[in-house]
Amino acid sequence: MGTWLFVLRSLRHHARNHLGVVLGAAVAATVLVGALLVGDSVRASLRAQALLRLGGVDAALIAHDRFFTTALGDALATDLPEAEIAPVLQLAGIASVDGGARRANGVQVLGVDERFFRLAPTPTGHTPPERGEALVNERLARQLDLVPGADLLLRVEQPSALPRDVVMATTDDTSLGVRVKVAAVLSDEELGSFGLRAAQIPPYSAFLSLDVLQREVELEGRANLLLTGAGGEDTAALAERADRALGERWTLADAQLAEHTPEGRGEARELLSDRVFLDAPVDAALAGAAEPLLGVLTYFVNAIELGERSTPYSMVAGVGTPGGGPPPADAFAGWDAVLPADPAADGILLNEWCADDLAASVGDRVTLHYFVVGPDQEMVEESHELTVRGIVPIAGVADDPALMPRFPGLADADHCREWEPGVFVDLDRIRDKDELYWDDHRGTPKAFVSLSTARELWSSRFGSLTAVRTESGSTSAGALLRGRLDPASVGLFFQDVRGPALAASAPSVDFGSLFLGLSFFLIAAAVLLTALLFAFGVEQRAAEIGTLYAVGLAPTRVRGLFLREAAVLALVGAGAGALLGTLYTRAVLRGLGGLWSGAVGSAEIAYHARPATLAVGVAATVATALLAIVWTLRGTLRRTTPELLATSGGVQGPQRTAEAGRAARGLRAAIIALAAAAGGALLLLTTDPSGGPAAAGSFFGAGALFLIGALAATRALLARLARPAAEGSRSVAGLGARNAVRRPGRSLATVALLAAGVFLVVAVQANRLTPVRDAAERGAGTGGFRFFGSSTLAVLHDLNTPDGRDAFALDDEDLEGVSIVGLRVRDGDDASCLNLGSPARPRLVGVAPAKLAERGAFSFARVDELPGADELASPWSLLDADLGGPIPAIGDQASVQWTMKKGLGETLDYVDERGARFEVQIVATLADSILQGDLLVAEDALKRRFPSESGQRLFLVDAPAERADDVAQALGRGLRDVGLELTPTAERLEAFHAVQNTYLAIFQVLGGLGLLLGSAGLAVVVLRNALERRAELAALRALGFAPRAVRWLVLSEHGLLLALGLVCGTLPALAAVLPLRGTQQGGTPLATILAFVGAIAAVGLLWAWLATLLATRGGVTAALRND
Amino acid sequence: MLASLESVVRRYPRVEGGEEHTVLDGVDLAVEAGESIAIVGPSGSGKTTLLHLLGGLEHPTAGRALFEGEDLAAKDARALAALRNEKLGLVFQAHHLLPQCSALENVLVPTLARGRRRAAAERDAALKRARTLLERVGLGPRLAHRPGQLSGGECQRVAVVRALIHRPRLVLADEPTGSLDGRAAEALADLFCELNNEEGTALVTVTHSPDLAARMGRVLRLRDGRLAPEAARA
Repeated sequence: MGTWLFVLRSLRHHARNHLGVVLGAAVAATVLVGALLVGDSVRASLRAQALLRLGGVDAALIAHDRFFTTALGDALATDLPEAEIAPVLQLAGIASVDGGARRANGVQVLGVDERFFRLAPTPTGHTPPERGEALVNERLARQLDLVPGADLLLRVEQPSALPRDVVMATTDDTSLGVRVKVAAVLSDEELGSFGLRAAQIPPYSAFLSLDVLQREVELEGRANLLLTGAGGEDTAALAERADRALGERWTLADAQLAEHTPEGRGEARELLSDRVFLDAPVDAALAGAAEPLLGVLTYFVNAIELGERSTPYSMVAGVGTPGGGPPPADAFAGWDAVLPADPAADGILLNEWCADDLAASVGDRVTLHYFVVGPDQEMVEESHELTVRGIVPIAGVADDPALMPRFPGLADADHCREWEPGVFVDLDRIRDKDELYWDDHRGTPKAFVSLSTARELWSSRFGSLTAVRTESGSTSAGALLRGRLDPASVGLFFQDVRGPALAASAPSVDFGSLFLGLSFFLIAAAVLLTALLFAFGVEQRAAEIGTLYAVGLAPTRVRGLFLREAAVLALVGAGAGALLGTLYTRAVLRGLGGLWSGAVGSAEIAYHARPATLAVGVAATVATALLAIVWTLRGTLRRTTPELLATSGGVQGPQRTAEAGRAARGLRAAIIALAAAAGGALLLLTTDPSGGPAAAGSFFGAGALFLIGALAATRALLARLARPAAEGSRSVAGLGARNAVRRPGRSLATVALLAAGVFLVVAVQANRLTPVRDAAERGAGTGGFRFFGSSTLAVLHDLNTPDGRDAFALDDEDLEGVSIVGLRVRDGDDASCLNLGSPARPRLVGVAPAKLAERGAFSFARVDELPGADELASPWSLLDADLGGPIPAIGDQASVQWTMKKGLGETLDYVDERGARFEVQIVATLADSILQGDLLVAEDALKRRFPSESGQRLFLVDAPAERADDVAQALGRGLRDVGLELTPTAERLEAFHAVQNTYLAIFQVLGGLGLLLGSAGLAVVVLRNALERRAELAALRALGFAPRAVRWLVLSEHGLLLALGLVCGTLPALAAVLPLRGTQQGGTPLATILAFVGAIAAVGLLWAWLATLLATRGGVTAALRND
Repeated sequence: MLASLESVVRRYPRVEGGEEHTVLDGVDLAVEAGESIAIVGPSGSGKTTLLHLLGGLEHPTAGRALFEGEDLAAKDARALAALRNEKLGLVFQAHHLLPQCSALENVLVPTLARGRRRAAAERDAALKRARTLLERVGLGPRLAHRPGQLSGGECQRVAVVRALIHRPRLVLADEPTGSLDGRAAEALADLFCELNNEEGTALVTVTHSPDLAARMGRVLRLRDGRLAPEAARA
């Protein structure tokens, strides 16, 4: 007879006994494989989504509010023949149907041509829609019930050449309506879900023909997005190649610059920008040039005053060399008249017309009044006094209308009364003589100052020059820029989008590990049950082992035979479990798509299984089960042959256990208990609760150690209870307790099974977030604000001022008692818990630290101990700290910890508008707030890095509780054209809580399954004990014990195990969880936990009671005879 | 001398606070090759313990248990297992057949001890001997029957054959007829004697049965922890 034949014979003979072992292994494998496959599915789905949203796009030039020429794409195509290059005009918009009854905010309106569709995941040869038509993506179609042929109104952002924050920029016509018919709905495979930001949910998208959209927004031949894809692996290299080609091919027009010869200025050349102000990098590139250059900064002033006299609304030009030095002699013919001899001179030249108007003479002090933009985009009128150092005739260089930049609303006006600049103009102040001046001289400056004075007064983050001139014979400024200006510095640079997108698609929360982590106890319980059941089988076969020893099989050989048997069982169980695991995964994914959808936002997670994962799951289950079985076999295999042979039907014969050995085991267990408890405590004490995954690791580590400690303490207690009392057991319950320790291994396994389930359920309950109760408190997660608002288009007015409200026709009465904190936004990845991915560059939100500090808004979870931080009145002030490079940032604790995987003092890399890399450093975190998903930085820092980001798109609204609905309605109505969406802050916070609570709900189910196994373990042990001891209990009855006393005996025995299981599960869970809850708001739901533990105790007692009935069933004599 | 006990003392540790219990107190025994010995004595006198000491299943508290001149206590578990497998045969009152195996397979269970090291020829020889022996004890037609399908006497005969499969030099039998009725007990006693004669195997049996004891070459009585020749019966 061969070894395997013997094993097969044993398997067949003990098949019924083995069924439980197979089932236990199957449960373990189901849970293990399921957890791993959920991870596989989430990972694969996120990757697939990332690939779908990018299609064939590998790299992109993302110019935001800068508009290069579409010819740039054609030029690059010749240098990158292997790549597809598609120019796109991407603008923000709002879509509505049925007269605005149904709307979708935050729509990306894309002007595309056929090249865009060639980058689709499945190129279908789509052509751009005709004029008056649009393609929409599935998400927008679903939102607005759009079908081909449906009417759709798109309100599209009207880009402004002049950044909207500039004083002279118009802030009225910020959007325009485009009425279209839906031509078709683009599927995801047709690039319908196109988007460059990492987010689970594709944006709402409407696709118009590129040239149609260009005409609508008056940006003919322009685009702000250049997509490229070559289908290669190294997308970063493609981005570099594209950048090199861009460096060669870019033109002034791509940087929105233009050069021309001003009328009547001979061969002089003038460099201008469509954006009115030349970007600072352009200024800087020219500043170092050796060629003679003349910088001009012309500004619109409200008045030039001298005493009672005032000249309204005039252009004042600052002239000088961009570098600030004195102009080279004779370099600028005729300019001597207006160029100050001393470039730093703080004086003013008036033209004769103005001097006459003011009756000014040289030496008089005149005052200039002009607007600048305040911190909340409000117009602030400032003034500056200058000495008249000369009066120039309107002739030569002083008679040059071209010195006025093309200010929108002014440049094309025939009459002063047609002026529509971006600032308030009191047309009543315009006199006939002013009108005549405009007729004769247009925007010819009425006064000249030095360039340095002009810069001091009027430079902004948008630039400090409106033109650069060169005289004939000199190299023009435009030509100089070709070799000196890095196109990246004006926002023209390619970036790899595929690499980061795929990196960001890696789940921020590894669902596989997460499920595995919280399934750990469930798996452990299943394995323990498997081992326990196998051990029961082995105990029953103790005599068989004795026989094998007696006939000369060495213990190692016998163990080998049993392990082979166990391996077959574990393999069969794990195999079945792997199949069940695929079903379990589908069930979990179904849950994630339905009841548990809160955990994954709206991400659609599709089933995906890698064969390797299945193999790993099966192998791990078999290995774990075998280890557990080896452990449980030890005891039986160590027994002597005579002891084993004396065992009948699993009931042990006389064991000659030394009392000293028992005491030693008890002592050993007590030492292990203390060491494990100390280890767990040490782990918690040395863990930063906000330390991201490390904190979670500590929870698991400390929890496991406490659990081990509790079980070891139980073992020690069992050893102590096993010591015979000199006077015998004084009560029936005492005798029951003694019975419970008769099989310490079996009892301990039962306690462990129960404890694992209880641990999980209690830990999960302790982590549940309680509902938002104190939403109106400043320190709450709502910041005490009533609403959280976000708009599609930037709001360029301060909504707290009458003027700002007027701009949106908001009634002051409606907004009485309302105050609004507006926040600037630089779009980025969604880093809230609604995004499953790993966003690399979360959205940056610019805040005025003082405003939030003054309100004491929000509570801080953690604050970095930076030098001087203690002296700050509020941690918000840390945003203004100088960190010597990195920009300080504050984020929500959960987002920073889990999604960004960062801690205090750590940094994230960003690229600014000009292609320069910079770091953002976490200086503090907010506790459980509505600001999840973003990084908050100081508004000034955001403006510096992203000067083109105009206006505000996020709003924290304070409103009286009793009028909250009216306020919401008024704001919604007034700001509908900018796509304002208001969400009650409590609702927003609850939505974030729902995510965490959904996770917990999932794990509650896992905990429930763990408990089910724990109960099954208890049931098996109880039944087993009952069956083994029927005769013994009958004997007690024969000795005169009343049936009630016998039942009490059995109940107390198993009740003790139940109580130990509950204690061993509850205390370690609370000990591990509570210290980590310090960073969260809301109390621990102790009542709920107690209710859970009570319910578990009730179920356990039910099992024990059933066992008691079974054990005491039937007559005494029958039971004795059966023995 | 095949096996011997020299001044063997066997005590068991105190259980639950009681005094240490001495079962054997200076036992001397010599077993020669091919001889048959019956050990008799009242229940609890230590007969089974004595047998276990001879088989290396337990070790003496004092004194020595020797087999072929070697101290069994000096051998490790693996060496003792090999000794039992190759040179000793054990028969118990309860047959301890493996319920999952047929009669033939039960007899072959000791051959599992060598695992894969067994040569095919060795395996075939063991199989042939198992068949021969089973036929010899009248179980030829029941080779494929499992213990549950055999009578108590048949099971015990299978157990005896199992003990002999490797041609042991010494068979130790613990109450081999204890659970059999008179006829079956007599048949088993016949079998033991025949095999003792035919195979030249030494036999030490512990028994309460005067009939079985009477058929052995020597009868020794264990009383108060000491071994003495049984007085000749009238």
